[in-house]
Amino acid sequence: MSSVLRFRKLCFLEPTKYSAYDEKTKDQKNYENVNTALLENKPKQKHQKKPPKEWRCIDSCCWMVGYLCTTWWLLLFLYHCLPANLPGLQVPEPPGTRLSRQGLTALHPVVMVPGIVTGGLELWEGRACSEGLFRQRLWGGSFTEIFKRPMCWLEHLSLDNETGLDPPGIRVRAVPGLVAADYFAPGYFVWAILIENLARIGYEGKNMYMAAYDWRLSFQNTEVRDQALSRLKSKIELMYVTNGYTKVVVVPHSMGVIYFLHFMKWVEAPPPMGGGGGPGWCAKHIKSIMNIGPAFLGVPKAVGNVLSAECKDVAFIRAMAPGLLDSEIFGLQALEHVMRVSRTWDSIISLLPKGGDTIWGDLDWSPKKIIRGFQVQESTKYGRIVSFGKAASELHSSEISGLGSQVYLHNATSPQSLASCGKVWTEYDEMMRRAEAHFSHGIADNLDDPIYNHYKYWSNPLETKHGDLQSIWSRIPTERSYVYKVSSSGRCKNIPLQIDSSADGSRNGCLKGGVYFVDGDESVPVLSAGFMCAKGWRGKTRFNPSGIATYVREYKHKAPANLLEGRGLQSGAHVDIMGNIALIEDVLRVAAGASGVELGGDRIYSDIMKMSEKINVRL
Amino acid sequence: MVMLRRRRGSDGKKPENSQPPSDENKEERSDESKEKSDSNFENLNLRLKSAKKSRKKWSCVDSCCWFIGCICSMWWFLLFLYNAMPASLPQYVTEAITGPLADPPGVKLAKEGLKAKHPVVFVPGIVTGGLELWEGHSCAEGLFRKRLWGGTFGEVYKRPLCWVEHMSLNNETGLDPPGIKIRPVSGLVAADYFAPGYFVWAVLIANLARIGYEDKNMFMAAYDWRLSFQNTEVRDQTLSRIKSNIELMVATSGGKKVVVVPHSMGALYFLHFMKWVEAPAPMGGDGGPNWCAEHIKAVMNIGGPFLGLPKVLTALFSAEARDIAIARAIAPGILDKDVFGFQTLQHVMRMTRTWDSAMSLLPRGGETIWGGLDWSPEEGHECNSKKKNGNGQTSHNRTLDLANFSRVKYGRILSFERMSLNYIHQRLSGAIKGSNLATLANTTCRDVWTEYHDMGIGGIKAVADYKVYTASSMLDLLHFVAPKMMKRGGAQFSYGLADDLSDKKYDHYKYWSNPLETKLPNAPDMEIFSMYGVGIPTERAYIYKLSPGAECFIPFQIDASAEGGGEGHCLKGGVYSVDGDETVPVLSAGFTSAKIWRGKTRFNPSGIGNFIREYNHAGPTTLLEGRGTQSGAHVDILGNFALIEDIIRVAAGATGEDIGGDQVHSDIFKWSERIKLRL
Repeated sequence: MSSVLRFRKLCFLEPTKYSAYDEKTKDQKNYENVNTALLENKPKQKHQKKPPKEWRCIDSCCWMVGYLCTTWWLLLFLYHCLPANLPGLQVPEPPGTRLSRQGLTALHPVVMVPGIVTGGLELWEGRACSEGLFRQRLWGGSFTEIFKRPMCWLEHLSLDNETGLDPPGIRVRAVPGLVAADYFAPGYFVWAILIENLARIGYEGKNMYMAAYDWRLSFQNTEVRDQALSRLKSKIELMYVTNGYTKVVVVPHSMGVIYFLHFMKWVEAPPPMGGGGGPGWCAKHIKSIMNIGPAFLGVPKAVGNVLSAECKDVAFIRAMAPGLLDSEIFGLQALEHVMRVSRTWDSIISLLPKGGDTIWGDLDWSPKKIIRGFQVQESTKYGRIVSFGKAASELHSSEISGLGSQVYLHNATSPQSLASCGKVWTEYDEMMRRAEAHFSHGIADNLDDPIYNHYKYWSNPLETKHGDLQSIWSRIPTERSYVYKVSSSGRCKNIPLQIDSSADGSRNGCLKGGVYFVDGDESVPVLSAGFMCAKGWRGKTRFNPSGIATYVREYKHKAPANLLEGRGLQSGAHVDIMGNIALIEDVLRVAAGASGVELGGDRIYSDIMKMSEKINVRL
Repeated sequence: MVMLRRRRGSDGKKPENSQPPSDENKEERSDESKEKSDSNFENLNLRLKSAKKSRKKWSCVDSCCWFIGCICSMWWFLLFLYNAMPASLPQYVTEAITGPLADPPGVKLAKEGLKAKHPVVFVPGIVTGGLELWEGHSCAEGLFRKRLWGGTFGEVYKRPLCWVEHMSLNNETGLDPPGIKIRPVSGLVAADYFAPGYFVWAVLIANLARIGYEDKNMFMAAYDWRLSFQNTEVRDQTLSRIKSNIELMVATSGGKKVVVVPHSMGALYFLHFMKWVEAPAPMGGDGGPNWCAEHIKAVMNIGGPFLGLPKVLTALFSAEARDIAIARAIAPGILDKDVFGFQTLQHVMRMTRTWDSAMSLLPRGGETIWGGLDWSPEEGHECNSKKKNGNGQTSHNRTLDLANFSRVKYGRILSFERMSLNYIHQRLSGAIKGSNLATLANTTCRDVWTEYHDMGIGGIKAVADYKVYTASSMLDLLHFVAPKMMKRGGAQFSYGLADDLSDKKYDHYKYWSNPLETKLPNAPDMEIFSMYGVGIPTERAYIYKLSPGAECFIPFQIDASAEGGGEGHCLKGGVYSVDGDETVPVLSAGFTSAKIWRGKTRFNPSGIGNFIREYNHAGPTTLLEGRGTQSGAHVDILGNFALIEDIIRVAAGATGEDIGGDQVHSDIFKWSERIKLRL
């Protein structure tokens, strides 16, 4: 530092000294002399001015950077000095504190089952390009590797197209423990708030368990490859014993709901296919299941995903900048790659709508034709989950060569356009074939049929005898149907189908940017979330032979009032609901021993009961 | 010119000139007019002017900013270059300097075709496992589920008193203080790195992963290492978890038994576990008498202090180890005086005394094992290990050393002042607890509370007058100095040597972690390995002195001025050292496998195979190697390639004979011979 100062001193002070001396002489001499003095002076001045002049550009940059840094640090320092609770930022008391003051303490161990995408994945073995990433997160965290080495990243995240398991030489595994899904990315909570509130009433590592699994695999494959189901079983048994023989409360979220459904069938099935827990296992170990935003009957979004690797956000981008994403400017073919990768994930298939036309509506009818809250001017046809062009989606079924949504999926390929598509290889049929082996999407007519003992039926609530104790979910406009059009450019590099963003309904219609919206929580429509609890399992039905009590609890979405609240304390969006105070309170109360009736039974805002009634399923 | 003059004016030289500013301005104007006439100068002047204008703003703050900016930009640039660098570059550089590196053992063995076979369980030692906060007082706001121990230790600096408060346990029960919950981090992350960049298990995990291990067949048995072993089960059900996890891994890997790799105190913990799991229900895990035989293939102890550590005595006695003693000698003012108002050592001592687990490391077996006033098993050990490596001179040196140093009496674990080595046994019971100084001390010494204050001056004098302590009288001393701690410890651990192992009292859990008072499980197919580093001087006995100003501070300290004569003398800075891995003396790590468990003995009724694997220490030759691949130091040995290779081979199915049986560099067998013990 001192040397720098000396340097500056040299630059600034030397010339002034010199001129000072100069001036003194000038005082005595007359003007002619001044001129000569100047003449003499110039070359020397030139010589001495040089270093400061060279400084200027880089230096002012440096100065700027330094200035910014210093201010930043100062602010950071001030921020850290702030007391934790500023009067202006009064955060409402977390439910955990309030309930612990009411005397609630930890009673039942809690098992959390994360949904698709929210769980972290880490690398255990990789190709040469992934050097130095051993046991680092590939999925979750800061996602820096996507930008550093995108191709490598995609290669490691995709699964083998034939088996649906690891490609040779690559091992990507789920992160274990609570850290697996507490935060998805830094600052973006998933389970963290719930964990924190549970901790306030006395929960800790020994009576909370995060059932992390590799969400890319089909459910049965998580057992085949990682023994994830066996682990879950052993952990539940352990917690049951070490906590003084109290049953566990299971809190699955999103796809975790179907996963846990699969688990419950698996654990009671005889080995080798099942866990060999015996028929009373669930009754003995599980107190209640509190499904958050369940996707029992599938999510239409998944259809969009499978068909063209785009959800509604991407559809907008595509429409706005058709050249950017579609053309091969960066040589990356981003969308195609993403699609290819996500197609290898079997689990997405588990989210395909189940129950076919009976549940989701035929070409001309849908259980949700009448929806309060939306002024539907023309009967929007939700039954057509995928339709080509806006016109087609509003045509009467007789005018299009209609295919049921189930059949449609199989024939949705246009092989000609794919055949010439070079290295980007996207094959629908391949995926559907694998899918058929692991998941089933129909409705069972006779549940006693021995074929329903196969594991592929286990995760479909419409084909299993099972029940639920509680169901918790929320509502918010969500995607239900997609309008597709054949890609206009028709080039081979394109995915042949894309969401038709130009199809915009009339002002108040549900059709927004190519996607029909219905009531739901942004990802899961009400029908999918609530049907099983509202109808399929209510009372003693053939799906619920033992008459397990079911409850439907809906939470009204209320967006955060200001930015300071972050993602909101009363949000009902699919992931943000994990921070919803009312929901957390319900979970805490049940974990501390309350029953569904004590909570207040059903709480319904939507038309789920009405909608369910329209669906004709033999109970 | 103009600007320059103005600058000069502003610099405060105006009064000197005694000219009114108006005159100067006039002059400048005339100057300007002159200059205007000369077009050559004009351009230059303009340029100068603009330059000066911007420069005028520069001040001290600016140059600071400039300096910071410069450094930041440089740093970012270097960081960018570093990130842009191909990942293999450092390896190229290292190889260019030191010659080609050996393949990591995992890669080498994977090439040989070894595959993951037996699930592996890691049991971390004391201190290396991370601890996180689950519930705290208001001062720990915002630390929920953050690591208090391990990681960056940032909180130690930010709120030291809060940290000490949260890390301490209840002085009476040895469990959580009310309102505070600190729990072990679970999973492999618990102890893979202790602090960023300081590996513990990470190297071993990475190498195991190379031959196909992953999360499902590796398990880190993380436990709260501050608690006594039985209390981890009482509070966290840790032992039950380990049992359930081992059972799960055996089941999911198709009946393959597990290989357990305990490190340091983990070796004792696992000893406790093996007794616990077979014991009947309320106290034990109720796994039945054959649980170990059915679930464990091998136990590979790394640097296990089976007989305890002399180092722990000093840590408990005066909260100092050799490192602190040296620091004290160099800068006597800092640690002793209350400069910062922290009284660092006292706080640390108060905290460590609440940790029951430290007491599991006290030397066991008393004078029978550690030596009495006039003998010790290691007698005749030469301390200059470098000479040992020399070729021709070895025997010559050894005789010389024997002549010189046979007087070193390791049996006197703690003695006051060097002269007192020849003092005769005095009775401790003569010591009377001095006048109650506690009240006075407490007022003068802030709120720092150590049990010394209860003891008073008279007691301290009595301790010092007793002069010499052996392993067994040392326990009496601790009972005297820290009665509360020893009372808690006495209920959890035992330090004796059993005469009759079938005695019913040995069913109590406090004996389970003492190899001298338990029988190994009935599992003839199991194997036990004792793996440890040798070739580093390790603390074995100490010379103490009374510290000045004993009222307010810890009254005893290691006498760092006590030096042995000659270069190779075992006494350095008040500490006698022997061969070992810098923490665990060879005797403690190897004696069980070398003698009491070897063959069918009363301690090992089923004849479990025992192997000693010693690894000679060789420090890193260059800085580039980091902590070295041939290190024998207590923690660094987890990165030792030879050790990793042994573990991987056993995990892939090899037996102790397959990897070469015993591998001994030290005099462990000779020393064990000297210990008289009925087998």
